[in-house]
Amino acid sequence: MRLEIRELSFSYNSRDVLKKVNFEVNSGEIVSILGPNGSGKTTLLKCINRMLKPDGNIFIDGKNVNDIKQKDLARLFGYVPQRALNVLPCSIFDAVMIGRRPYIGWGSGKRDKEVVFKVLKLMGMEDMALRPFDGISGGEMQKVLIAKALAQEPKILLMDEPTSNLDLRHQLDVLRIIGEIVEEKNVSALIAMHDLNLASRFSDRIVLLKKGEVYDDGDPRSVITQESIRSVYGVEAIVEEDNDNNGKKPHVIPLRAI
Amino acid sequence: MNEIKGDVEKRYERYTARKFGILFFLLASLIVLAILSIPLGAAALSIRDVIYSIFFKGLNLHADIIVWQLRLPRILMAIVCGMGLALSGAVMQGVLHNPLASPFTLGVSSASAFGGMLAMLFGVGMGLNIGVAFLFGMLVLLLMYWISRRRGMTPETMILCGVCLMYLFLMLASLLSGLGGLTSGVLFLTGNLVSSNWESVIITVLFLAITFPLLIWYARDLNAMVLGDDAAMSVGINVRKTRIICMVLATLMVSAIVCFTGVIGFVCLISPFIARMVMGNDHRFIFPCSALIGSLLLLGTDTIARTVIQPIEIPVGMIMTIIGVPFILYLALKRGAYE
Repeated sequence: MRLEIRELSFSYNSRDVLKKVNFEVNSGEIVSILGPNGSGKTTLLKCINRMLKPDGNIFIDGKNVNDIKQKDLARLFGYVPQRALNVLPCSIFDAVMIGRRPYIGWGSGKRDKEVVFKVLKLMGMEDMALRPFDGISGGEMQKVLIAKALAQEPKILLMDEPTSNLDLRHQLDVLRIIGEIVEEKNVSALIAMHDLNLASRFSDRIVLLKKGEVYDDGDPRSVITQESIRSVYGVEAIVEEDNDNNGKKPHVIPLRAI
Repeated sequence: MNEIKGDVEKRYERYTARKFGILFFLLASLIVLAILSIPLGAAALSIRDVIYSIFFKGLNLHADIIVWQLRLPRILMAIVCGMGLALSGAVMQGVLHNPLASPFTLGVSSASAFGGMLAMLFGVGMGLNIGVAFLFGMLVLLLMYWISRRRGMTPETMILCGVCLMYLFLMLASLLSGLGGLTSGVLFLTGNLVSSNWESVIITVLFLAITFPLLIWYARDLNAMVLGDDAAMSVGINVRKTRIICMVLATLMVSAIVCFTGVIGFVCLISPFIARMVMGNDHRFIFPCSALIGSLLLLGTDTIARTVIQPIEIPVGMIMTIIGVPFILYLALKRGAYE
């Protein structure tokens, strides 16, 4: 599905966090949101998911999200929060089952369980399904949250730094899984990220935010440049070109903060 | 690959079957304990006396009065109050993401008790009694809500505020009982089931019958809230609405109970904790499990309270505290690693 963000603005207690943001995510596309801490990445995702009420409009296939019921919206958007609470005992199966909430009434059906099992297998977590959630590492926790979002069978994935707690191997693994799902099911993904190189490799397009405004929007090679990194992050960096299977990708080597 | 698949599903089925097994076991234990506790007490009755007066009422008048006017209402009251308190504790923990939350530790119980006492002193009827108790319970909730809106609250500060409020209202209530010359004041403050009768049983059952199904209806939403508000909102839950409704229902139930029994602490904290350990995060199981554990605990401690130093009654709240404090200390030590 196609996601359009039009003139989106949001402020927390008169502090402007997002200022007239415009961009779109096409069907089957992975778009990364990059930008320094506090540039509005998390707020942007929460506004799209209507956890916050912004000014401006958001359209899904031309339909305004304000006209969609919260429960129906939960079938369209699969949201992965940056972190989760972990104070009450909960098994991994139960945590992933939460993703089925938009589809079920009071009881959970056979199909819901099947979907959860399938997602757990996809994420390579079937062996730990009944383990309590509080005994696992930060990385596994992040994978559980991703699994929860996949169990929602969404059309658009909204992910808030899904790889920030993962080690090198799991980062690649999770992004590969997301890539496969996007391709297979023709869903779209909008991912807030910090790692410029990972984002360049795995996304079709990059939206670069600076202080709540879109600094640049385009394919990784045009957005990730020496100039943009200096201006947005305040960092001197070398940008080389890597040859990937899908063509040339920028590769950033940071040198020093300005 | 297929073999592992079957394996997970089988393990999950066993896990679910175990939950039903535990519920059945708890229910059976409760029934057995209830029956066994009928003959026990200051006035000695044989099991035969009990069976005769239950099934063939009228043969032994003395036994009939003890069984029907004293023992049965008392035992049923213990069961119902234990259920209500434990359930409200489970609700508050789930809704506030706080394993230490309960009507007792948030000050709701003692505020309600103060309200109930105030109403009692002015001699209003039982219905209004509960109403005033509910009003004071809600006052505590509103205060908490106001503080958390203004400052934000960590789970620890929430409990700290709650314990302060608990003491404030306990002191106010004891002041009130001193000024008003309520002889039952001390009993009321420690919590007891001495004055249980059929009327109190029926009213409490009524409140439980209203709140329990509604809360069970929200069990699914509470499940989704375990990972935090963000995750719950993203699956279409109106977190604020659910939180307010559940807190109000739990407070309503507690204020009804408190009007009859005074403040019985700890049962509302311990029971849901145990229930969560055995049931995981499924509130459809946690609620009934917590309720059964609560009634077992309260019935057990109340039976001890009325039999251990016959014919003197110890307030059941005291026994519950004696059991509850080591339990909480154990939790604090075990939970040291969790920040």
